[in-house]
Amino acid sequence: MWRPSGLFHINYRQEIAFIQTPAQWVWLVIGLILAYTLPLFMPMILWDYLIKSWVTIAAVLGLSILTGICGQISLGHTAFMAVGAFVGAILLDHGVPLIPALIAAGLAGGLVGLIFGLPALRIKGFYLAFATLAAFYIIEFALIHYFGGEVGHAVPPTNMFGFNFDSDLRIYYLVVSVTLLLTYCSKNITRSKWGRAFVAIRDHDIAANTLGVNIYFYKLMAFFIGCFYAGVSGLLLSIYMGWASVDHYPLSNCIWYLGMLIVGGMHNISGAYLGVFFILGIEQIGIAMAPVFAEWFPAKAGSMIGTVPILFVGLTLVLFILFEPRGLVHRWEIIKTSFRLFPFSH
Amino acid sequence: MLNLVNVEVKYHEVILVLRGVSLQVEKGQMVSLLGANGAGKTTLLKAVSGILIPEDGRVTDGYIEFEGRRIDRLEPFDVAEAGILQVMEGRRIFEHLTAEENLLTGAILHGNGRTKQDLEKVYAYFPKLLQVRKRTAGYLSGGEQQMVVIGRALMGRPQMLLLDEPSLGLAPILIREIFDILRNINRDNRIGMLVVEQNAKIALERTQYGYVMENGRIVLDGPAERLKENEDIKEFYLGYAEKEKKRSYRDFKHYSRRKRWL
Amino acid sequence: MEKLASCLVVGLSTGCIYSLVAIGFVLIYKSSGVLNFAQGAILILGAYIFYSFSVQLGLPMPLAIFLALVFGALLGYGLERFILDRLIGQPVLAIILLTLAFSELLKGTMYLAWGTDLISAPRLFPQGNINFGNLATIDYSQLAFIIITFVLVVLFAVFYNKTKIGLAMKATADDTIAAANVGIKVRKVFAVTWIISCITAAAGGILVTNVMGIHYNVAEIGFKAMAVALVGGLESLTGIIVIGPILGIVEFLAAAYLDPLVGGGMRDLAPFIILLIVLIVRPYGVFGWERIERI
Repeated sequence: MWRPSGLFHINYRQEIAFIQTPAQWVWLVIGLILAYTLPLFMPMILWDYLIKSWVTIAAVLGLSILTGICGQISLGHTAFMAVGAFVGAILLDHGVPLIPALIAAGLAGGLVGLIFGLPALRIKGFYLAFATLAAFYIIEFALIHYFGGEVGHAVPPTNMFGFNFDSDLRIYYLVVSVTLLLTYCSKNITRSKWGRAFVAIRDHDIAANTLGVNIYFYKLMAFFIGCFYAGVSGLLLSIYMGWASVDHYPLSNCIWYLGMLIVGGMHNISGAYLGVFFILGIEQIGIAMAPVFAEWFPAKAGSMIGTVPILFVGLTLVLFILFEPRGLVHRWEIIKTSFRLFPFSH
Repeated sequence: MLNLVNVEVKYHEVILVLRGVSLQVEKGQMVSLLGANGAGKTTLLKAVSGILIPEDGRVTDGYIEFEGRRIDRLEPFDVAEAGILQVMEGRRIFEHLTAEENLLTGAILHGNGRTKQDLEKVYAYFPKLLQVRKRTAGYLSGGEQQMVVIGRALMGRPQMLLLDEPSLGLAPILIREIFDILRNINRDNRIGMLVVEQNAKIALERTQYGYVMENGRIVLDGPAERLKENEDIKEFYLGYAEKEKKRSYRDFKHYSRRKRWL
Repeated sequence: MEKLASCLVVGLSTGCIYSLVAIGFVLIYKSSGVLNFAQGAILILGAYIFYSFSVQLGLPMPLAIFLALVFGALLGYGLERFILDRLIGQPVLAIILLTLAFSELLKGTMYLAWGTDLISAPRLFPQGNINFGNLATIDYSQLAFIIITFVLVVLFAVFYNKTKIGLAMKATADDTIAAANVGIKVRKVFAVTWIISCITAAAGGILVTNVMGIHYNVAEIGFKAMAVALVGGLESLTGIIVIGPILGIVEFLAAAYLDPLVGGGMRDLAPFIILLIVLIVRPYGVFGWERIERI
């Protein structure tokens, strides 16, 4: 972490503080203001993009903790989102207030994640990825057959202390607030003892074990936390869509989320933000370009809107993994460093 | 003959590891390369055998020649074909294959019919391998694994071997045994050897010529006999110290000042 | 009784296809450590290409099959040349994700080129079946699946265990850099691997779509083949040959006997449930090698 010269840490609290310089306080305030006022600057057609982005950030934050920081590859993330969405929808239907419903959705997602994370205690890498894929199919099956999945549940309009979330703008505020809260929690986790344990497990779990890190506990906790975030995010998405259905949480999204992690930068929290906004932005560009493609291939015009965004995003992902696997965060660090060191190159 | 001339190697385009190294290994000669950790010895071997590129390293200046032909930009396969084979640091055995299969992989390079004789030759040098040849290589002991990787290199009919810390993690008696075998191989087949070693004592006893590297440069070289008697080598690599004098910090600093002759 | 017999037959023949595709998958993994999640997409792409050549362009069937396989080989070579190089040494996640993203990319392209409707494939095998008394009947196409798979597997086993390239592939699978050191042309090994793998995927696709019709969803067979590979053990050829048919049979048995209980969908689910159980009980697969990990 770069600090201007003259700024030293003289105790542990300083070293792990989030905000190290006054300039960062300013950026933080600006960032918060921007987060809340963004929709007012943007045309209404982009509000869908904004809300979806924030919801996805919540989910990808969870994935960042699970996969980016603890190294447990999970290909089933959207299944846990669906679990949270369904549990939340059912609870809201029964009149449970919003905040407990959100927490319950998270807990449901987390618990299911914990159960399906048990294989992580015995396998890792690709085997684990596949086990999570299996988990996805099993959960999807269970939701469809036992919880009315394909048709889904309607999500009643929600309110918090009388403040009705009945317009897109208000839902945006809800989503942003929850996600910012989750971000703060993530940052706290990563700078704490748990965060260090996660990183140790990611780097070399057997060695971590010999040093006294209880890898079984922490691996399960990583799943719990990551899927807690997924559950909350899933419920938020359903609140926005007004409907909880398995169709909102397809397998391909799992791939995109992991892609967002890689594009943004796997190992830290800002990577999630960058990756999500960037990839979903590319998707928007794809949607906007679909009519153009429809003109070029009139025979297939009907399917353009479904396929062009997929092509764009898929291509972006492939290019990033080939040429910048450490993500936008890394590229940003290099840019900052080159400015700082100008005219030297290193 | 292997000839390195003013070789400069950089990793990731910014980390300078070898700063103009020049080194020769004559045909059939055993040469040792000594130095502390981080001096650049392994990098030098990798530059010769072509394995820098997967690790994002480049030879950015100078050149490497073998038998008159430039080899510094070649792929590992081409260097192996030219006759230089490397026995890597930490053994790098094919864990899931048996010991004998490991040896056979060495024969892929020169696919023609003499594989059986080569195999017998290797077993003649390393009789212990004959006993364990059907065992999964990953479960062999360190010494046996070291024998397997040397044998594997021999199967490729090299003209020169690059050995990176063959004594790593081995018991002293085994180290002696392996170096004896290496000397026999060198004498019988006129295979040149460049041996990187931390264990300066055994290296200087068993090789003919030595180079000492520090911080990416060769700082001393000479026949092994002379190096063994050199005061600096004795103190810093062989562990001898003058018995009467009490060392003070200033003496150390004095030494490091003296060493900056390049 | 008839239901049981027909499950066995169908399961056996479908399972053979799983084994075929799984071989390609395992090959790539064994030699370069790359997990080709795009195996399913390549499978269905082979089928679409076959369809293009035989129906849309009207070429005779053997030629169309041959061209589809050639296309597969070229695709494999292209993937190796332009994508694999950058993947060596990267963390597992990047590799998995690249092939996954690539499969999504292929999916988009296939939707564009051939649409999203189910296309029926030109019939490869004659109609009709063989009866074993009153017990069971086996379709000619099912029989063909079994025979073709058997032949290909035997050919491959000989190739892998008895030839120098096979040994080179095994060595490269273990330690790529050491293999390069020993004088193995690692790039050539990768190219051979990918070419074989894509050809088997395309072949599997052509075969299976004869029964299931051509649609992108068939690519999910790729995942089932991967499950076969995992249950069998990623390093073990025997594992795949044995487990493929077994998993196929289990799948159809589950569909036949459990579907009424749970309301359908067991056919797709059963392999994954078995996979999870096996991964917990015997993590490296029934026949797999244990990771030799020393600190």
